[in-house]
Amino acid sequence: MADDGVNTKVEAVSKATTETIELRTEDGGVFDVDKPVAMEFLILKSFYEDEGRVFDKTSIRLPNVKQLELSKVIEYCTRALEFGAKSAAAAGDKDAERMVRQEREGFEAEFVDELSNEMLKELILAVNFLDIKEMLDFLIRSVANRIRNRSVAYVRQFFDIENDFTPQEEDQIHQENAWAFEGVDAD
Amino acid sequence: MASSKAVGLNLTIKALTNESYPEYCLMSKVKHFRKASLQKILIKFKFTISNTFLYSQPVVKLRMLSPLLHLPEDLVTEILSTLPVKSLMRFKSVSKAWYALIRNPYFMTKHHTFAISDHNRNDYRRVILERCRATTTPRFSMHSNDTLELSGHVHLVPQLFSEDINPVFFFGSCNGIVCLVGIAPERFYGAPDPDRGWEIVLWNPATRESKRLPFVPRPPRFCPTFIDFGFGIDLNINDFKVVKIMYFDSLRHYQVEVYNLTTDSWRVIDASLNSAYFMKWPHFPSYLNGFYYWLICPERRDRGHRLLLSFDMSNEMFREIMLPDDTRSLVQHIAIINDSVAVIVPAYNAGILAYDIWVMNESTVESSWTKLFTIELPSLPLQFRDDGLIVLSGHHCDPDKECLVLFDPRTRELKNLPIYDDGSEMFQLVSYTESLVLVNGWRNVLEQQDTS
Repeated sequence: MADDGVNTKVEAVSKATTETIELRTEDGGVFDVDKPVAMEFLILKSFYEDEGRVFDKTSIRLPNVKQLELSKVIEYCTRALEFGAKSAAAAGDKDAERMVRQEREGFEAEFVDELSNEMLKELILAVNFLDIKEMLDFLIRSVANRIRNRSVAYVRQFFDIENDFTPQEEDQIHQENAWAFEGVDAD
Repeated sequence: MASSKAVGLNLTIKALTNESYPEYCLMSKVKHFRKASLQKILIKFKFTISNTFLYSQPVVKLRMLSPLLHLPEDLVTEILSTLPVKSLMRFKSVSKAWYALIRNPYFMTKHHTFAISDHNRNDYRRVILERCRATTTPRFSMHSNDTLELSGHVHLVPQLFSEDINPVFFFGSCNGIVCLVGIAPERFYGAPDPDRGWEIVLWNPATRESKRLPFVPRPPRFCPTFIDFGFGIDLNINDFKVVKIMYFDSLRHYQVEVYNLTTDSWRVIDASLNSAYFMKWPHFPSYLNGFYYWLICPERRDRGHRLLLSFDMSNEMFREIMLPDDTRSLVQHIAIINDSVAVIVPAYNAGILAYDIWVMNESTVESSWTKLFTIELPSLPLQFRDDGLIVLSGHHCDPDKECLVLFDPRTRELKNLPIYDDGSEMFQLVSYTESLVLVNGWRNVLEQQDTS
């Protein structure tokens, strides 16, 4: 009985130290990422699955990702996994499910609020490269929310688009859909 | 090691390192500024704020903007496909590429798929409320789907119809297109071309586009005794169709015509409708999955015997469907409930009027019915919502006023839906999903594709 107690204690300790993977960004950043979080990056997951190897400590260089973006990605994915676990634990209990959902919405709102437009775009490019579907969907929705009630000028600047309409053409579209230009947020 | 750059307006930017990805910081004498205003100034000099804790840190860190921060096209398309219709109608003027994308049928389908997905459905669903009073022209208002919050009024006459049209009826709502029929009574009583007394309009309330269907040149004294309509989609060719069924008592003959939106024209079809049929006007738009449904009496003289008549929008053929046993003389209306065809049967429980709802079980040869639930209230349902709740007119909630009530058939809960009350006597509700679908300019879209 005493032996069993010691054994289970050892087991608990080794479970606590999860495997990590070292990721290096193109601007010299080095991150130790928990393996479950790193496996959310499908670009890494497919690398592991193809190679079929098990690594103790691996260092992978991410050519298209900078450290600021990666730290944000790690932050989001870590929390997303936590919310996933909480959601699963709350399954069946409507009140608990609602609480988890609200907590997640609060976190996501704060996360996005702190991002400038440029940062948002940089993140989308990074997440698109790393192939993280859930986070990409979230960022896409966030951009949509940010621009949905903005002016045409704002949207052109956001996506860095040149206006290739003549003034007359633009006028005509504006006239045909004048109602769509009402109630738009000021720039 | 550190270099400075004067930006004017008392802002100075200092480089912190000399490495390939330097960080900069903002030296400023102004302690408080709005992040958005600061960002605007910085963008002009190709800098962006890289940390956002402006007030807790004495130093604002900056980065240089990457010159090519362009999102790839497929991601831009993803973002646009999640936007409301009003935003997209405005963003058509962003650039020629965006204009073409927003009018592209592939994009419209992608947008519609997003709009009808479970999670997003309610955001894109709207309700049109028609208020009728015997003495005035009907008035239409637009509402949100869940709370019936008023979002605006629309004047179907004269915006969609000619001035002398009154009343207007809904015949269908598919993929964001609503089919309306208006009657100008003076145009057919004693008029030379009575068929012109009917105006049919296809309307996209979200894009505010509408189209009045063309009249068909008629021989003199072309005067149907009875007209009925249907509206839906031919799923094989992805085209909207309007069905016009005309009965001529003098000839004991039905003539059926079908209109295609893509060809913008009518043609007579060989329907071989039994001239003994007596048809009812649909109370609710009754299109589902490529078929339109009407309630009929197969023997004109025997109004007690009723059947369902379905029209296949693709092969343009009619078919009779049996109603549930014991209800055949009582079925009052057809409705579409959660992707099933249903019939509403008034019943009397202990002398009090109630409504039984029967739902048709899908099967190819025989149709069978199940009684889904009973509305134990003497209020005819106005709308069967996607979330399972039913909107009822509410005589019983306040004897003097007309109001609307939300009924949950599972819990039997009733909830009042406040709507602006102007003494209207009758309400009709039609719901639609906001979509980009074009009502006009089908050929324009094709032309654009040809010339690009």
